[in-house]
Amino acid sequence: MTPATSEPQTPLLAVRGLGKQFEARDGRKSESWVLRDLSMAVVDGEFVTLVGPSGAGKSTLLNMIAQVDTPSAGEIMLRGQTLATGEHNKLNPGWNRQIGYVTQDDNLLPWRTLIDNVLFPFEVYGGVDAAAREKAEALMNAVGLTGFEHYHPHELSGGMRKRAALIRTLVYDPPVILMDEPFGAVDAQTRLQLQNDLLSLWRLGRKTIVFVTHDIGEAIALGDRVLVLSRAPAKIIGEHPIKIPRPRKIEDVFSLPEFPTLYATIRAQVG
Amino acid sequence: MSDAVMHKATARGLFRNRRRLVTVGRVLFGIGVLLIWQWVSALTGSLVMSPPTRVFARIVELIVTGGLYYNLGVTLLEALVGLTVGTLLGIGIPFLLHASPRVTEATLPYFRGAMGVPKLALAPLFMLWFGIGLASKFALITLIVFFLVFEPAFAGLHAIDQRLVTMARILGASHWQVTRKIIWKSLLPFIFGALKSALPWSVAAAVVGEFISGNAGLGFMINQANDLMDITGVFAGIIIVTTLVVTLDIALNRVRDQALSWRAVDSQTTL
Ligand SMILES: Nc1ncnc2c1ncn2[C@@H]1O[C@H](COP(=O)(O)OP(=O)(O)O)[C@@H](O)[C@H]1O
Ligand SMILES: [Mg+2]
Repeated sequence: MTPATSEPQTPLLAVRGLGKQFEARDGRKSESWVLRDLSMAVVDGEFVTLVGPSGAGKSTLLNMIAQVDTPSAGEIMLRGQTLATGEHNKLNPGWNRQIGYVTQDDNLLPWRTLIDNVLFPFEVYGGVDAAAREKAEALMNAVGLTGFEHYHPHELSGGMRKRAALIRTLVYDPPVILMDEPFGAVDAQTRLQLQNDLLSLWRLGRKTIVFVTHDIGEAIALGDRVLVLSRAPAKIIGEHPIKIPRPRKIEDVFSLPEFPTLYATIRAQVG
Repeated sequence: MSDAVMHKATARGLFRNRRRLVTVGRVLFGIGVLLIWQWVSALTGSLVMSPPTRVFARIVELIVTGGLYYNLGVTLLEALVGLTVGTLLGIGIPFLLHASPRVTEATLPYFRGAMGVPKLALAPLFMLWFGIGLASKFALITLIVFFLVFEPAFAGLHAIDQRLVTMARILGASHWQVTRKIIWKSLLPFIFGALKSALPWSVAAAVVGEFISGNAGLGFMINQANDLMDITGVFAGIIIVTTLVVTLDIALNRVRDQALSWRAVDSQTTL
């Protein structure tokens, strides 16, 4: 497969020859690479989905892009600027709010109400003004959280917490948003709802999204392009442009004539 | 939504009934204890055990004549100053240690070892070094409170959910904001837990300090009564100290419930 770096447009986000070894318990580098020689690129406004088997290193890859973890080799670039390399890697999580990250766990602050969780990005940066409140309320409304503003996370269902976590990132408009199986732990019905919510929100904002999942159907239904990650040491072993026109409705995508072939091809690669 | 609300409402209703039962039970138990006390003191004679009627008459007398207030004030002052300074150090030093793992490793065995020192046994030494006035009591109480707060605060800092810290950093929080909005908030339950035992200890240590040497305070008052074989006075003093501790504890619970109101079950599981 040709690596994604051959895109004609200059990429917004580029990853070159990325590698990661975790330190063994005794402090030395362990022998095995979780990720090895991984390259990919994402253009502005693109919705890229990444599928790979569980344990392949998907979360590890996103952690490195989000500047939460350091690469052992290779380089990560945003708009041509180097964020981290195997040699130089002082962590700056989120790269000054340029990279948003919706993690696998919702990571809401349990002592804050939902609205205060969603306003947190403004509170720590720029301040909570009328415009911020308006924006937060509009997003809460868009994902059906109106009326729950003053609930604490433990009083809400997993699906609602996921939605809150999602809009907490959308609300401050980071140019790149990473999502790590954000709908992994919710029931099928809620999941479908969340996927559709995400698509309609994305249509409004057109952020650049890197969406990680182990669900091939989800990857096809959401993405402009599906990248397939191999088992460890992980690298990109497949790239599939998804030509399904937008706006899409997730449930309709599954019944398109081209869906089964696409699914089978990717399925075979994921292994 | 209605589900969560309903659940809360029924829980509250049950709780109210339960609470009424508990209150009735408490009053009955208290009356029982007083009756037994009265009966035992009649058997032993009032030189060994003073009956509650006389003890309460004495307490009323101390209140009416105003003989109580100075001693109460002195003990309260000692306890609160020691509690405040000890708590600040007990939180502050773990914070400093937390910033440097190497210093922690070097010094922790000493902190842990010092915890085994019977602090009350140091009281006579403190009188020798700091005199019989307030200073020696401040020092003694501060030391005791420090060691009661240090360990929970230290454990609390290590128990902080690092994912919340990382998320806050990604959302643009500075280190100082992370300290205030994440670390401090996560630490609060541990600190209130520590205060729960430190508070009665601070009063107890004040009383013991005054007992050993001093010229004011509730401990001094009890000791004086003891010297005069005034058993009623000893009992009155003990009841007053107990009342002080219980009152402070109730105040602490109020503050805690306010500060940790976001937690689900707290007010039902403790007094
Ligand atoms: N902090 C870590 N230390 C050591 N090994 C790790 C660490 N984090 C992840 N790994 C290993 O890296 C591999 C990939 O993990 P991960 O990125 O979470 O996979 P995925 O998200 O694709 O399921 C796993 O084998 C996991 O055990
Ligand atoms: Mg993962």
